[in-house]
Amino acid sequence: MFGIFAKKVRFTCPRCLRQIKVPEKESNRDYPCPECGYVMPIAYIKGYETAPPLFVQMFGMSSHGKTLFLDVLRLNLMGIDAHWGQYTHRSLTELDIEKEKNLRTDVERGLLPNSTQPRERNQNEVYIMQLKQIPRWGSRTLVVMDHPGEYFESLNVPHEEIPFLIGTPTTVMLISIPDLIKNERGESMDHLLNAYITTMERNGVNFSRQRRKLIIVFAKADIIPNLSPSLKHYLQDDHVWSEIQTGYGSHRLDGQGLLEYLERMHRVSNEVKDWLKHDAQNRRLGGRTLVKLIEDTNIEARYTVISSLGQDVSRDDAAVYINPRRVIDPFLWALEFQSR
Amino acid sequence: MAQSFTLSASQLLYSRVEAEYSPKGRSGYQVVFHSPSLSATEVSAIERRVQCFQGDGDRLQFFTLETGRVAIVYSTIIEPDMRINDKEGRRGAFIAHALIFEPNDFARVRNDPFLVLEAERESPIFVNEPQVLADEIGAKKATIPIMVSATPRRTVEPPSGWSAPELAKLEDWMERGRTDQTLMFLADATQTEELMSVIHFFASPQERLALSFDTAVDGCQPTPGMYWAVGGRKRLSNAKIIIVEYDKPRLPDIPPTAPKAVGYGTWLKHSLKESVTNTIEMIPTAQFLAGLWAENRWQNPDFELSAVATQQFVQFHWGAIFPRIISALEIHLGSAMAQNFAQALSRLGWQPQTQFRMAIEQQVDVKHLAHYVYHWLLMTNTTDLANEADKLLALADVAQYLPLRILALLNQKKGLFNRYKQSEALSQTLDYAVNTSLQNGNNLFEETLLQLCPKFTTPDRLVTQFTAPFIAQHLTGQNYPEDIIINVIDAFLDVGAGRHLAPLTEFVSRLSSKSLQQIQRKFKNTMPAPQFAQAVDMRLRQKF
Repeated sequence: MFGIFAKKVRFTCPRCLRQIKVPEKESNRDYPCPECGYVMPIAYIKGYETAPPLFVQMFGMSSHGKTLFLDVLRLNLMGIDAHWGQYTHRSLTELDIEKEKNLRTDVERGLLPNSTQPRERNQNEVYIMQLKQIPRWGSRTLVVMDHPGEYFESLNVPHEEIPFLIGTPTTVMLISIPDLIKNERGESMDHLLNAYITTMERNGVNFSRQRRKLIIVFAKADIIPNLSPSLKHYLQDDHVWSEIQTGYGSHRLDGQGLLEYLERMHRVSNEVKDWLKHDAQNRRLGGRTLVKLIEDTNIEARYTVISSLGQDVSRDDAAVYINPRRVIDPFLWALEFQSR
Repeated sequence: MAQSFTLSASQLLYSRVEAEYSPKGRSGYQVVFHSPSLSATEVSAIERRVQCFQGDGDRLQFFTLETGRVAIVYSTIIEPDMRINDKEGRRGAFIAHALIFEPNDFARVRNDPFLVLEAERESPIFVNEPQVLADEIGAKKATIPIMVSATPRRTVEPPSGWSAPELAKLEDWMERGRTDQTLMFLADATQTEELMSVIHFFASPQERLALSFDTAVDGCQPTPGMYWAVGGRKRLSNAKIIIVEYDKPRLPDIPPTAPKAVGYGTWLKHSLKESVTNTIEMIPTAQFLAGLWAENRWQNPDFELSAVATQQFVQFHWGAIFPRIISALEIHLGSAMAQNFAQALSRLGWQPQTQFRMAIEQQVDVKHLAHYVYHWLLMTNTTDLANEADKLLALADVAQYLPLRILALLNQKKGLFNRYKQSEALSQTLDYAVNTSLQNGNNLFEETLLQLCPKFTTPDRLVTQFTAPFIAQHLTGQNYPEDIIINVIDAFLDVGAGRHLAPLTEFVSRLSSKSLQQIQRKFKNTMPAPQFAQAVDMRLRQKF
């Protein structure tokens, strides 16, 4: 009846990245991916053209703060309408709704997220959040998958379990310098990048032809002992979270305010890069080699500093009430990267 | 535990550990120890199934590896030790402890994971604390011994909301085994574990290996078909995950598998509809019998079979069992007599277990058979068995069972057999004499007959062509009254055994001329021994 001339709807499975093409009539329902079985919500399919997906792949060592960053970013995106006038957000799956509820209650109770468990590719949990009318970038569907740090700690990254890593151009590489300093096993930031590059090359990625994009995020920046004063100031001078909490703010992130924010992010990125190359502590932790490797491999990188908690947390603290800093920056870089 | 045996299990431990406790020297979730006997493929297969656990209590998993080995995994959320598990002390850390069994070993507990778990409860094995985990990592035990009762049995109580028809439907799913669909019980881990315990109790040992399960899948998105059933509180959205509410179960109907000749499943469904409580009592016996039938091999049970369950099971499958009983009996009784005799087995008091055994083994204890055939001949209405005498005699000879031989011989003279049957006193005497003979170790027919003759007043009833020589020999020198002597001689002539009358010549002189004339008249039909005929002739001539 439909034949080959029937109108088709195209979309990408948010879990395995398979390209799917179905007759329009069949797109009016949740649709199971023929590859991995993931049931895509109808809102994802319907909004695929108007709110294209923004895939975010995290890459970082165990307990450096990847899950915490993603959780706090989500909390920011749930409340950032104080800064973005027309903006709305919508969780598209039961999993996302559950996640939202848990995040809100965990924040109230001062609970931190669990350690992330490894999963099989077809067990991966995909978080899908539809973000409408973001200033400058329009509507996007944020698709996030989280993986445990132990996946990334050797040159044998199990890429088959992490489809976004090869299949999407942008990766958020999260590094905690305080943890590297405490580390007794000689891990360094260039080792992490090396694991990323090796995995890509083993999977046929030709860096000279295909420019990959990395957002290098220095987490727990508020407790980095050697952070430069200007970066420390940049970190502290963030009002997004406090204005989300109060619902009122004078630092709107739209129009001219957003442009200025992005320009400042650029400057900070360059400053972090210089700090990595020249600070003695960072050089010992492989910072200079990291920058050099990025340049040599033709990777387009941006550098940010964040603090998901906004404070140093003692192990004995029964409850932790967060005050995140600059957590929105990596997200804005991802938007910039995937909008060009 | 009075008598027990030891099962040996390989093991695998999975948890989140700091680098110091990691075999790879890195922190994070990982396999922290596994027995060297496990291959890399097996380790990887177990790891894939245990690595995601978002529960808030305990989880139980049961599955079979591609190599045929069987895994039982217990996982528990722990309070992480910052030194051992996670320097950040984050929530959600867990330990998964897998015990892996060789298929032959696991068959010793009838493939029932819950029998292993019962043994585990008696003597805990599973690691559930960080410090114990650290100790076990250090100990590197290649195998774990598990003491299991030599005759492990358990019983169950189905959840209150599960009616007999729903349980019967569950049997269809059990028979179907693992497919690309998975049943999901909307229940917490404890409820799912209890339900799976009932399901494994109901399942036959052959079915159990396919009834894999995971009691806590919330947050872990199991692949349909990975397990036969899973449990969780959050409804999974997938056409191949069949949701079943624990409290209000409604299982979808599926077509039953092709019925087997003697199918445990068909019996179970039938029996459940009759009575769930009785079925639970009868299940061990029914499973045992069905297992023997499937293996086509008899084995003595290591527990007391329920007589009621055996009878019900045999009755239910009579259509399949009966032809095999006939087939076993035909060897000794021939087709026609086997058919008749088989129908009378229960009336004869032949135990269902014995009937079942005969059907499986396709052979029968001949002494046992001879005994029952003897009694059947006494009670049956089938009088015309003259054509079967050879078979009965052969059976009696093989079994060395004299009562049957006597009956067979009697049967060769039409009418005599019926008289024998009607004479209760005679048959009792016969039985007594034969049993005495057997007890004395002297089971020769001839001797028995000689012992029998003086015990009853009318030995003519025992006269046949075959018995005549022995009876004649016995009567020699005896002081029997004339009427008995006349009857015996009459009987000899009637059965055509006149040629054996020579030893009785000595009696001729004691008989009246009237009696002798009566005897002589019968010489026309049957020629007597010449010596006897001459004596009669002479005696009559002397008198007249």
